[in-house]
Amino acid sequence: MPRRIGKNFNNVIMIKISEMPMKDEKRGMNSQIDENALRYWNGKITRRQAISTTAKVAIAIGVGAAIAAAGIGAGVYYASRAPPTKPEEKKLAIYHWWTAGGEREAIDAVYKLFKEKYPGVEIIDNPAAGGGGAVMRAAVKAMLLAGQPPDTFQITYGPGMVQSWAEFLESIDDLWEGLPVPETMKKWAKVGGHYYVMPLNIHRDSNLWYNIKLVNEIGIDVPISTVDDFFKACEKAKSAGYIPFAFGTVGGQRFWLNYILEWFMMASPNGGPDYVNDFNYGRAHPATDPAVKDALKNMETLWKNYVNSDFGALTWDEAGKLLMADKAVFNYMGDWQKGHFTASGWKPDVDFGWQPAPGTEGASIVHGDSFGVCKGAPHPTYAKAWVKLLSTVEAQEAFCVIKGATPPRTDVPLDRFDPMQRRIAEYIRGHKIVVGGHGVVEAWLDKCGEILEEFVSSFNVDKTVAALDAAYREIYPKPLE
Amino acid sequence: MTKYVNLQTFLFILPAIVLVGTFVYAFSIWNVFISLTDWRGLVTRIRFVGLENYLKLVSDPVAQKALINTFLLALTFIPLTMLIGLVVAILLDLELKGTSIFRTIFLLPLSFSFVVSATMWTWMFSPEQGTINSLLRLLHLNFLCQPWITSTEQSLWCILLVYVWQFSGYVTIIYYSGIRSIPKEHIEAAEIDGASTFDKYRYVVIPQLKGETVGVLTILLFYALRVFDLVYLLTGGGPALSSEVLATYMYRITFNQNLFAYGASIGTLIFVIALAIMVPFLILSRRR
Repeated sequence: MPRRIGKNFNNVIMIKISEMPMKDEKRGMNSQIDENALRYWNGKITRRQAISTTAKVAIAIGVGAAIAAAGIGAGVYYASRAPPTKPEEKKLAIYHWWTAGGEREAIDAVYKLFKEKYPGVEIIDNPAAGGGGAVMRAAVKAMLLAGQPPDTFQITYGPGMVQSWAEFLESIDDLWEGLPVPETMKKWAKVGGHYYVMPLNIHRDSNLWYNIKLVNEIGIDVPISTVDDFFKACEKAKSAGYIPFAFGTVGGQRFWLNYILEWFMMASPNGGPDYVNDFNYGRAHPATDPAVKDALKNMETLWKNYVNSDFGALTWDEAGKLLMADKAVFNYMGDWQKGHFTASGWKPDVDFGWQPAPGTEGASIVHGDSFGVCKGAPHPTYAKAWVKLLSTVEAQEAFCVIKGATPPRTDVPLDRFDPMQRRIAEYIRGHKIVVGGHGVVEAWLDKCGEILEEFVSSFNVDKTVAALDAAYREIYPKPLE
Repeated sequence: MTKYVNLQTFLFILPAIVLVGTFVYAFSIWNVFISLTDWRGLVTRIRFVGLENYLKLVSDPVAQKALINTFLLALTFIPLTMLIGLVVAILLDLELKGTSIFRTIFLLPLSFSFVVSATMWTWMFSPEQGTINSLLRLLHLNFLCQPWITSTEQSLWCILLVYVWQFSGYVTIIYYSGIRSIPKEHIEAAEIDGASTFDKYRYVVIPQLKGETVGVLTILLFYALRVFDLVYLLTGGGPALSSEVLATYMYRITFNQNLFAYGASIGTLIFVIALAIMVPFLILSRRR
């Protein structure tokens, strides 16, 4: 149809052209303007009308452009202007990734405390599930770069993570005065001599979980103190027909492999807790440090012989379920695995047992969760009030009891915690603390996991050491503070 | 009325021009610009580094692996899906018994979102507890059990299977409607000349589906090059990068490793590959 209309239209114009004097033949014939000229020439419209139609088109385009420009301009102005002079609204915008069972209730308990202390303040809750916080971090990055910061958001507590966000946070030195938090952990909140975040809870990463029923049935003595003994126990479990070691790295969870690397580096006679700490601070030399090679060799032994074959199809909690189904004996995971077990109805010290990972006696690899006050926060008063609340005994106790974590303050009473959580908390308080797991630089989390995932299928130690070294030097051009 | 046509047309397409101009063209150019800098996520100081990211891309073994996987997937996914789609469309056209039930079953995957089908297939592929292996064990066919997505050799082909499963229904619809719009006379003429059913499709029907083939090919190619959702959810590019494609690598580089500029250069690479294949293809198909 449209084609036919076009032809007719041209025919009309052709006729009109034939009526036109010769001197105007060179004129174009398709545009609006020329058609008006034609009509004027033929006496169909007046000169004024012809011009006005042409002008209308021009004006419409101009007005359209002006509206668009005004809209964009207003948007840019609105986005870039200083915080409004009108009185601060009674609101608090929080971003976090606590959505799972146990986590949700834990953060709600802190919200309840906040509402008791600051009645009438509306909490704008923005939970973003997924990817161990990667989803929330992507969202917050976009907001910060667009100059629209939230009031406060969850930051993994460890020097790598804190230092990558500090640029966007207000210093909160006054809130840290006299806080009874272990010295090692205090440093993690500090960048350039100032404190930027407040930890709410910490987790112990270096734990070995075991199925008590199977351990008794097979005849394994726990606790196991060395890696060699651990492999012997695995061998026993294997010949009894069980999966010795349950693990899961599906999808984006390849970073759990970093945890295993940290475990074996800590257990290596060439490594130890200080080495793992240095490693995660960017002060190591993977190419020449023997601890890295030792750790990879142990990973090779573990993966070639004792890990469930479908580790690439399971998440960390699905791996835990293999223990619950009496199919697997051991699992290495942070103490949120305990929360997962108990939430699923498995009883601590009855159904499952805990011990520090073999060979890591005397130190804990930990990381935590913290919050800071954003620079340019729309509600700075309440953002600071929130962070202040998190530093209190009551908030840390309320949160950690429910989530199954350890309070960063050493003066939080532990009597409300279950006996196993209390032992874990006391272990952290009484021993050396090493930064690990997720507290490292974000890029390392992904890159190291990628390299190790390759390793557990190729088992090429030299190639892996070279790859780790290259990535390490790129991601840590200089050590963290 | 004619004097208002241009003005009206212009006003009606103005919102589309503004939106597409901003979010497609402007950001594509912005993306190229970013790829020439050293922007690392949160670091706000940005330096112009020229082609450094592209030089890095050429020597990056992970990027090479992702590129090969993307091509492998596209080169198997497109012909396989088109073949299955065409065969099913012809079967539907033959109006055998139970066609309507079969049609519903076959078109169902099309209505699933990628997230739903990826989650479902992850459960089915799980080697220990998954449906497929459990079923095989139940039938005492243990020797057929496979590690599926947990094996470096099979993960990419598992993704291919899900992709073909999800898209063949779509291709079927297009071909089926194409076959149905062929004038009856052509087929009747062939029948009078004594053509068998095979000959009828081979010489009369299929040659008239050129338009549909071009359309389907264009769309499948587009999906194959930007494949992300299914890979990300099924395997995350693993195990050991065996199913990493350019789009999942770009996502990881940008949002997990914070290398925004390097991620942008991967984005530009995908864009250039798409252009390099599509433009000559579209020009050729127009000429014909």
